Amino acid sequence: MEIGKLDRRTCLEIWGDGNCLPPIDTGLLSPDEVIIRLKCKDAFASYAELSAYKLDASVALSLYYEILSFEGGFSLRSAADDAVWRRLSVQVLPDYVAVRWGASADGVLPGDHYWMKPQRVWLKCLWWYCHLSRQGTREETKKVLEFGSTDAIQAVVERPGDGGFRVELCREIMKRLTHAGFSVEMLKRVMKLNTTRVCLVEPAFFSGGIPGYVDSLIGGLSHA
Amino acid sequence: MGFVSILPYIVVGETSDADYGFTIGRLKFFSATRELDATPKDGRYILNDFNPSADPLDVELTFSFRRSHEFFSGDRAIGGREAILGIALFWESRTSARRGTGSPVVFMQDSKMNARCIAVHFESGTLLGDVILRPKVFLVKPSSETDPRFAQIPGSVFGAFGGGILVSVDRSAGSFPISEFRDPAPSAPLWTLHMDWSDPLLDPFTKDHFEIRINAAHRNYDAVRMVPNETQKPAIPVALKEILTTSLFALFTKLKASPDSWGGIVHGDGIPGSIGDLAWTYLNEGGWNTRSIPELLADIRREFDI
Repeated sequence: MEIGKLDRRTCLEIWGDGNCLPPIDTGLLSPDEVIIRLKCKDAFASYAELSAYKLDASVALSLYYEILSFEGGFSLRSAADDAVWRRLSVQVLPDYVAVRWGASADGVLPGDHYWMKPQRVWLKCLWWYCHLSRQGTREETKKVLEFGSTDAIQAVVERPGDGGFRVELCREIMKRLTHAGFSVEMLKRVMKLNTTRVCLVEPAFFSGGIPGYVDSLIGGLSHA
Repeated sequence: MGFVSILPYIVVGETSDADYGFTIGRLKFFSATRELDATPKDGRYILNDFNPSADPLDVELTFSFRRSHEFFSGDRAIGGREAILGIALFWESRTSARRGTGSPVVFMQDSKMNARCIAVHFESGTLLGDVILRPKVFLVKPSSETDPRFAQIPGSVFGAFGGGILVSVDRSAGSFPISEFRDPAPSAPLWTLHMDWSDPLLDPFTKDHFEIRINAAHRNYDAVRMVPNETQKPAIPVALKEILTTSLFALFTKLKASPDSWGGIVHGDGIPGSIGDLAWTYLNEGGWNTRSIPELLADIRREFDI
């Protein structure tokens, strides 16, 4: 899958003061980028009635499983590259990002969700949110996301830590959202508790492996 | 199962290498069955003839503990006589946004720990930028002995051996020119910067044109000193990071002062290995913003994690 890259300096020049969406020149898009736009058009057509987190969750699933899928040639390497997300957000799909993050009352677009703050770039957040929530099948992943919220996105995606995400650990924690008695509020507390405990214990080598480690985190909430 | 907030047992640190007789034998990189050329340069391994988008990567580290029994008994014990310990390659990559561990080697008090091998595998298309690998010892199964020095929670990490092994999968085999000199004169500075080029789009990024020179006789030398080690990347002291930041800032300031060559640099016109090529790489891969002094300084500092 051929997706271009956009460096920060050029991005800033294109973005300007953020008073209007950058124009899309489809003649300058790669064939893969044109296909990405077409897939987005189809997906967003079915999301017309959705807003806020319901839109987030639906777009996350479509992005991860259809639009920017591993099967389609998208890679973890690309997903980690902020220059790729800048390109997608500012030059390929800005009009679709604007569906969720349009201009505020003062007419300025929220640049953080397009490119300015890498951990808040909407498309990137949603792709990683789905990757970190992924279960065995698309339907199982969808079920997990149905229990999520914008707070869950923040808790899981926006704080990767200095060394990056522990993917399997995140997936196990997200899986617990489908369990009775486990809520997003608990998920946020579990994530916070994890940041302190993971300095001392490697989850993969805990008793019972990662599921055992998550059990112990949840069990530790009452003492935290 | 409860947790502890402060490690109640001895932490294996960089200075403990000698205590347990830990030595690294070989570090090898493979892609499928092909062994990669990875010569250590300036504290990092740069993989040559490797395409991170298409090639898988296997890293193998051979090591020995000459006195592994000291983990289990004696003054340096951390596990107790019946404990089972493990050692694995822990990896993290901020640029790849992920971290994890390789398969462990498990050992007990009477295990022979000569020329053992730990490894980690990366699928193709999963790595971006740099990866740091650290061999770490952890508890697999606690001893039944009741000694507050001994860990009880499986998975407890005792510490890493060495400062980490830095592997770059996306950089060309350039080097960052730093040299040392000795000038004990009280007025001699801790470091100086040499910059002398005629055309940054052509002149190579080598010591002839750019070099940080550290005064090894200066009273503050210890604050910037990196302990050399052939196979491991020592941690970069914060003071040295500040020197690197200042030097790169000076480099970009000088480059921007020449509008003609700067225009070529931002268009990627520098020949491979040139000063302009290096600057272009930082601008594009690092996303450095050169519009203003504060933004450029912030981006450079972010590169060095300070």
